[in-house]
Amino acid sequence: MIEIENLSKDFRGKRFKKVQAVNSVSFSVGDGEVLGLLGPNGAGKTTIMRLLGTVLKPSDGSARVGDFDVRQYPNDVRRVLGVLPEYWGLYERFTPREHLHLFGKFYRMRGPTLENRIDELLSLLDMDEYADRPCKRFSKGMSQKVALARALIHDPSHLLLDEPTAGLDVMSARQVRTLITRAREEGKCVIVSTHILSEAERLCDRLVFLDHGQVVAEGTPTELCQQAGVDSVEDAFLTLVGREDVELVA
Amino acid sequence: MSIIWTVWRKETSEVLRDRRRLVWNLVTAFILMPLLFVAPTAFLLMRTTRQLSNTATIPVQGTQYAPALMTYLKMEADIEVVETEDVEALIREKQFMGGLIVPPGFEEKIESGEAVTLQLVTDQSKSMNVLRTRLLEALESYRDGLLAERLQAYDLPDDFLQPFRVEQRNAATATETTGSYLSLLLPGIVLAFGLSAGMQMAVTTNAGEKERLTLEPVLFTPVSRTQLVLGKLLAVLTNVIAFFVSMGLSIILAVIGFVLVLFARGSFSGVTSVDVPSPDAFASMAPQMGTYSISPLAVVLFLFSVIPVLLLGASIQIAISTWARNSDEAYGYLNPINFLSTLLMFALILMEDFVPKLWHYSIPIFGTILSMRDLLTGKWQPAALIIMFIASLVYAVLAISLAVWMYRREEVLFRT
Repeated sequence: MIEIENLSKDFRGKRFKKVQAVNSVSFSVGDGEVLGLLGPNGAGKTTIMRLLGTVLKPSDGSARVGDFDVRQYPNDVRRVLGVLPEYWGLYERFTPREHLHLFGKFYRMRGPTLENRIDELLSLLDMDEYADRPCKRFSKGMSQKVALARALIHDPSHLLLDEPTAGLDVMSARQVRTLITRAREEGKCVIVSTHILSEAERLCDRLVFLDHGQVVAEGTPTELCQQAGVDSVEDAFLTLVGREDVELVA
Repeated sequence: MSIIWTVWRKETSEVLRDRRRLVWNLVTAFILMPLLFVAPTAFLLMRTTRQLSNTATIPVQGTQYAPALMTYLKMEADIEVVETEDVEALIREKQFMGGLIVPPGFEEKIESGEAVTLQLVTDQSKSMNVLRTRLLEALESYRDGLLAERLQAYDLPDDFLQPFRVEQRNAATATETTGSYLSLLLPGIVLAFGLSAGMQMAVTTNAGEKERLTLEPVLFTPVSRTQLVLGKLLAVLTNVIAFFVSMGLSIILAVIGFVLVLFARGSFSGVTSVDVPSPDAFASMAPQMGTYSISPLAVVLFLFSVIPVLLLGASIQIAISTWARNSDEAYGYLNPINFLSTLLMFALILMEDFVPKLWHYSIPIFGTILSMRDLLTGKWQPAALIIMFIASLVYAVLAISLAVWMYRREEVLFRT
């Protein structure tokens, strides 16, 4: 379970001007549920991910991941959380297997437990072929899979996936979607940040529309369409966000 | 602790896998550096050997005024004489390295006891011109011979013109004398290299991680910022230690190469008995330096005194390179540290007469330099060393805390 209540985050911008990246955002995600965070660039999706991942500290409000408050127990939060960040950040001289080894150790995994988990993920994401090749010349799809496997290494109960299928080919995107569906079936709590509306509609149980750091609307795809009085999530988004200039992929 | 080692292993193996950098470092340490030391020495020795051993030829203006001197040069100094009208012109045209101008009536004036001046013309733009020394020595030897003849003619003793001699004695012990030479250079070199050797690693593992966007995924894991900084700090220190080890090996290789060159010097020109420095000649310098001795305890304390300063330097480098947006910016901030290290080396030379008080030993870096100097000259006091160690450790801990604090500030981590 992830619960966010009146969560705000502001940064000091140029000339000490306050920039409100997230403004009093509230929503919750249950176990076995996939929530889609939708919004144009700069809506605050990545900041929310970073706040939940305890990499940033909230300016106001609260957030809980599982049983842990992000302010009080950041280490415990990180232990139950798997994060696929916006930028994969792979070490180009390390192989996928070495990445998984390294991050497994960061989660205090050792011995056969770690080895078995690495083999399981390599096979699950169809990475065996390039598991022992340095990541330097990997395609977007290959890199994305390594980053995803890295987020899943400790079998976390909560997942934050920032643009998990961005730039992937059809086959790879399908594999990732299957993985997310499987996580839901296993009772994991998943937040997917995306601006690909068709994917959000297909994958997510509920959607949260964000704009300028605020929640504009929240509900199931059907509820959001009803609320906006339109037939598609894309139209619902444009109507509820009230902007035509946003960059979305249907 | 195991997490710190995991971070250390990750940082170290990442650097070791940078093949280009690794190969370049190995080539520099084990080929270029020794070669840089040995090659000029070998060249200099070859050239000097040739200049000293071969028969030299010089132009002389006015040979007819000094037939005895000309014979002396040929017979005793192996110098061939070529008669000419204009010595300077020939030297300016680079046909010869040096020559003589003999004034009219040279030998007659000497015989009558009149003062006479012989002109030695050389091209002093050639710094490696050994001929000048060779000619001077030959002329002085000829003059001494004449002087001895004159003294004999008047039945005077050889030291008639030397009423007294000056004998120099060193009041300092041999360890103090040699230690003072060593303390002029060694602390500065150790600290300057120690502080700059870790810089590249500090930048790569901090500003570089921000730049390559590899830091954020680590921040999402339960690794604490303290563990992360300590792992990176260990990696930087490992790099510094590896640098010192390779530098040590490099110096050993250079010395071996130098000794080989000295022993093989005869083969350069096909001569075997030439007047160039032999390994024994270096040993003859020993009386000047005295017999230097340093206790094993002082050596251990010297090495230990470096560690807190290296920790301090590495932590400051980590803090600064974490704050920097990227590697270029980090190098921009850190390069002046190299300059400061060079200044330290100069400060040491100016500090020779400085008598420190106990509190001086608590000044960061400066206190360490003073302690190193004391240890090398064998004049160390336990109280001063304790003050230096405690103060240096406190500064190092403060610097590590600064680096950890930097890692806890989101505006620093996401400052890109």
